[in-house]
Amino acid sequence: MNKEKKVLTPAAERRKEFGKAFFERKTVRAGFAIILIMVFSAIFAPLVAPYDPNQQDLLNMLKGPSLAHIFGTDALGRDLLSRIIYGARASLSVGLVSTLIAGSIGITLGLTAGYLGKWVDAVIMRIMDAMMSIPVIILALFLGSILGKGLGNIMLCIGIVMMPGYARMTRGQVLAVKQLDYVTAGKIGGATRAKNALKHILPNCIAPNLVLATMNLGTAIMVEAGLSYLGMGINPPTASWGSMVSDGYRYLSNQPHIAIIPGIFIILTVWSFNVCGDALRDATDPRLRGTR
Amino acid sequence: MGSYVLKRLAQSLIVVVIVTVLVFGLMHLLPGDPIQIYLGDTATPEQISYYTQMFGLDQPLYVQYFKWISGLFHGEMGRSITYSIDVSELLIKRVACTLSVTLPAFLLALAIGIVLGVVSSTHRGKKLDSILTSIANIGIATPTFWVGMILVYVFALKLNWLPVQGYVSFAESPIGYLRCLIMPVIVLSLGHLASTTRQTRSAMLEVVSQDYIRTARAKGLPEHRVVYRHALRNALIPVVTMLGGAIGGLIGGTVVIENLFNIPGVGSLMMTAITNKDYMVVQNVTFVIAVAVVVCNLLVDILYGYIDPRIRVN
Amino acid sequence: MRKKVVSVILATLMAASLLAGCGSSEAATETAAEQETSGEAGAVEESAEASSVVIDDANADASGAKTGGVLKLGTAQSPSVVGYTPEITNNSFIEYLRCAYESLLYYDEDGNIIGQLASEWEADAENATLLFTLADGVTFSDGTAFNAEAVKWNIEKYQEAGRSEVNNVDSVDVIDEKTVQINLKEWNSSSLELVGFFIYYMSPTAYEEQGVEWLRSNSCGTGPFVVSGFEQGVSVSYTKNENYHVEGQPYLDGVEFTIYADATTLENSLRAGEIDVVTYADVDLWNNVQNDSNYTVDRNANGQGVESVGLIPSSADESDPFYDARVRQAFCYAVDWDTLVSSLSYGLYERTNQWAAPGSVTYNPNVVGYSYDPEKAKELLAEAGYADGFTTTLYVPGSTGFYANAAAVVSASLAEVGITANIETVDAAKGNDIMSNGWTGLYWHFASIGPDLGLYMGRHLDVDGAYYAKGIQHPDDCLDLLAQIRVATNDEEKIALEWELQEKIYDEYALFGEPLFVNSAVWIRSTDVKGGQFAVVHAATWSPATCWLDR
Repeated sequence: MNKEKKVLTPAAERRKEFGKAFFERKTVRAGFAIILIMVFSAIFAPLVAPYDPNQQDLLNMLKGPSLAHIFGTDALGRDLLSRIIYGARASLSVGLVSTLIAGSIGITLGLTAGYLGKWVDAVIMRIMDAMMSIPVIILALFLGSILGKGLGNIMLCIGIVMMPGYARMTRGQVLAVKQLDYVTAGKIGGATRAKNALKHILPNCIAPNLVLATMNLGTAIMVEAGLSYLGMGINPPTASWGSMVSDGYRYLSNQPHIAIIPGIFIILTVWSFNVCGDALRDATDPRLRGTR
Repeated sequence: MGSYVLKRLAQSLIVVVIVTVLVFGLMHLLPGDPIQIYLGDTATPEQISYYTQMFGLDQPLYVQYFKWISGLFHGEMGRSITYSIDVSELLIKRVACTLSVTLPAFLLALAIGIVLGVVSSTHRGKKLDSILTSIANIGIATPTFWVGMILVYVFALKLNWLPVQGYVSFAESPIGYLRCLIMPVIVLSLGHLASTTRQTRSAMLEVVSQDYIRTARAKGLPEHRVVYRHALRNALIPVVTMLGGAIGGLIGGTVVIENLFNIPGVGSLMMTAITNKDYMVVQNVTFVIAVAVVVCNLLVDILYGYIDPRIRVN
Repeated sequence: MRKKVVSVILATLMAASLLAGCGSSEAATETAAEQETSGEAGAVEESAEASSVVIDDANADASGAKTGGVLKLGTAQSPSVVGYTPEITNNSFIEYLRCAYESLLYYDEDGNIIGQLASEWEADAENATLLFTLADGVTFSDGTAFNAEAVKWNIEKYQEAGRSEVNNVDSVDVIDEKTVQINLKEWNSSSLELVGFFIYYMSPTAYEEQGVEWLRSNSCGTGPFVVSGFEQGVSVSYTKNENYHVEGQPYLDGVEFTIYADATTLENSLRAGEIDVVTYADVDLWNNVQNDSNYTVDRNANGQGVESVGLIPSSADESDPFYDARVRQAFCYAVDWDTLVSSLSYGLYERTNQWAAPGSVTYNPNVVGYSYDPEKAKELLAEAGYADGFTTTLYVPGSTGFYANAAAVVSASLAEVGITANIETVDAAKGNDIMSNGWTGLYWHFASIGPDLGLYMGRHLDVDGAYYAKGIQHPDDCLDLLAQIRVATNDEEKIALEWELQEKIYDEYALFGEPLFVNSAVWIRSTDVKGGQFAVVHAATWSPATCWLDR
């Protein structure tokens, strides 16, 4: 054990170097901490939240901040702080799951298109192009109306909308690697070439997709918030930060804090994801180290 | 180069065709019957069939699709059910309105974004850089309607400086136009301004580290000349390539902005049309938006192809 | 709220048309004087009627109406057609319609039928005819005369468009220039109001000369204003009709409607002084301005055009738990509706337990309704075989706002008695699909509860009703009552039958679930807007001719 600690394996060394590069800046450390706090409160919401987020108290509705309710109460007398803590669950899981959906389908399509090329490539990529030429929020409105507004459906809807980005990026990587592969592998036989190509392709795709995914976590939360404003958000009574802002919007003139506070949580979280995404890109792309 | 342009043109056409199939299909998957929505609870079966025939909705789907497409070739966009007016007539006014919000927002985002990006990159690692970068990052992370809502609260309701909502055309009253559009334009441009700043900054940093810039510096050229003449020119290439996507993003953003500020543009039209299942409006608006985005992408690609010959290989 | 099924009332066109909305006592005298100049008979009688309908706030303005100015209204209602009246199908567009158009009959503040374009009328149950004598001196805004031919032509246009209001009209006879007889297919107690109130008269000449497409976005009626600008989904503006048949009216130079998609923006716009009036304000706006002296809240009190909002369970399918009346009753007992309505509406909405606003003639005080009793709900569920509860869906229009909040409360209460109601947000298209083609679970029940069950309840209770009918049962005894109401020949008989139907529908079958509250059409105006009679005569409309600005 001691020996291993002194003499790091190449992989461990890389990891250490990566960690150092990733956490180089103060903002990244702050962002990462925020994400950790949000994730923690999302997972342990029942322990952290002072109240049940859906517990109504119609006699105490639309109350300002007080000792009992730090952020006050909403239109049904529900504790805003508790709803924000539980809202982290919905918002983060919308971000995470829709990104996973987008990533897994998108990467698969991108790999297929890039690797098989020819008409498969053409068909897949033109469909992706078509999807990308319809603005995200409009496509999401469509899909939301068709699929319904359950948490799962919203995730699926946002996932589908974000999918083409991954397909395009992965395909680009595959093409780049394929070229290298032709140069280096020369005339090695079919099966070996395929194996060889995959071996080179996959690792090359992971890093940029990971960066994209980190950024998309924030985008998904923002899209959900936009849908909520348009009245097409997650089904009540589930709290998400987006739906809380929209709920509070109607009380803007008298109790502006109801809409403003959840908005701040959206900004903090999305900001953190973006900062971490930046740092991740820099850390995985040595050329960029120190440029930010 | 010619064959590359031709190939991209063909691809763009195919994309537009796929968009039409996609939006037509999605539209008919939506639940509800636009005629029933239009008529409400006093609808009689006679009335429903009167309107269903009037709008040709009793025909098979493929007939409806081909009618729509062939209409497009003749410049006909059919009729809005909700508004009882030709879609082309409706669109002309709405597009003008949306452009008068998106274009200023686009230019604002581009101009200020590039300037801030350059300033940030030339002050790399210094306080100004970290302030600008932080602001840009926060700008990207802020939901548009949340900012819009707060601006309205402060500047229209509390300070009474600007109107809450509405749209006045420039021709009607230039001052009224400016007053109405200040807030929507700022809100709409915010995210794009921030991302342009970020892109410009990182592109600048990448370019600055390259050999020819070092050579230019070594030759003793003044710093501002190095930055603006040599570096910025090259750094703008990746920024420009993002513009096609930005157009789509801005148009998408108008759905929220136009609802919030009650601006009669394409975005608010789209919102009502989707929820009312107004077929021809949704189909044609999506078509127009998609064509705009595809054309922008095409232009950018061709432009890019000229600037950077490597891209033509693929 | 008296309804005269067979009645011959004398009224003048002017008093009738707008005296109900006459802005002040002075204006009332003015109009009475005009009646004499226009040679109307029975001027004395009319002026008496006129003074009786002068509204309170107008009395306060003894100084009289000021002329000039443009009234700005903010609304969520977005009309698709403003001038070709047979295609204006939705009640919520009457606020626009009445600026440029008028009907044969109208209502006074108490909900009584009065004449507008008709000076006399007679409904003959025996022969199934309606006879109208038209008012003198009325012209369309293009200067052509409003006469019996025009009435016939308009009714036929309505028939062409398939309008339900004229379904029962067999033919129209022009007796002379000023007399028209409408022959009904069969006697129906609602026909007088259907023909009298829902048909708005356009100039046949304008139609022939300009065509239907022009008329869709312009206007040519007998009303006080003329459409001067129409942008679909954005705004409608009107200018004064110089040919208006009441001398001196309208007081305003013009009217401008702006359409809003966002209720908060609408409220902010009112607060910033960008608009003077909000039509159909939501309860939050109502609550926010009710104690603010800058604004005045107007509501309908006579029941005309009023809607109720409730929750209706799907009962059409045998496999549906709500198929069993006991389950529907259990649902009604399971929620504390009084508390729900009073807290979510800040105590502003009025509760009802049937298809009527409390106090209206069709309101049956003997209907017991369902007071909050979760134990009783559990008992009923157990009796019906659902002791362990069941799972259902509660559809809600929009993921935020009043309905979403109310749904959250209902869902939480139902959970207490073992019913799991998952909330599902729907948009306008899906909501309409539910209402038109049926659903499984609970949906909001939006019902016109004007005092005529044969007409309004029939739209949902009839087997082929346009809304909700496909999602519910149609008990034979209820349909029988409905048929009897329609052929009733006098008020007493009709009302007795209507009361009986209320008890059956609500207490026995709980067929329409729980009616939550009466949406009495709240209009909010800047206090310096006078004489507009917003929502007063009919919830969906106002009196543009007598409205004026005290500025």
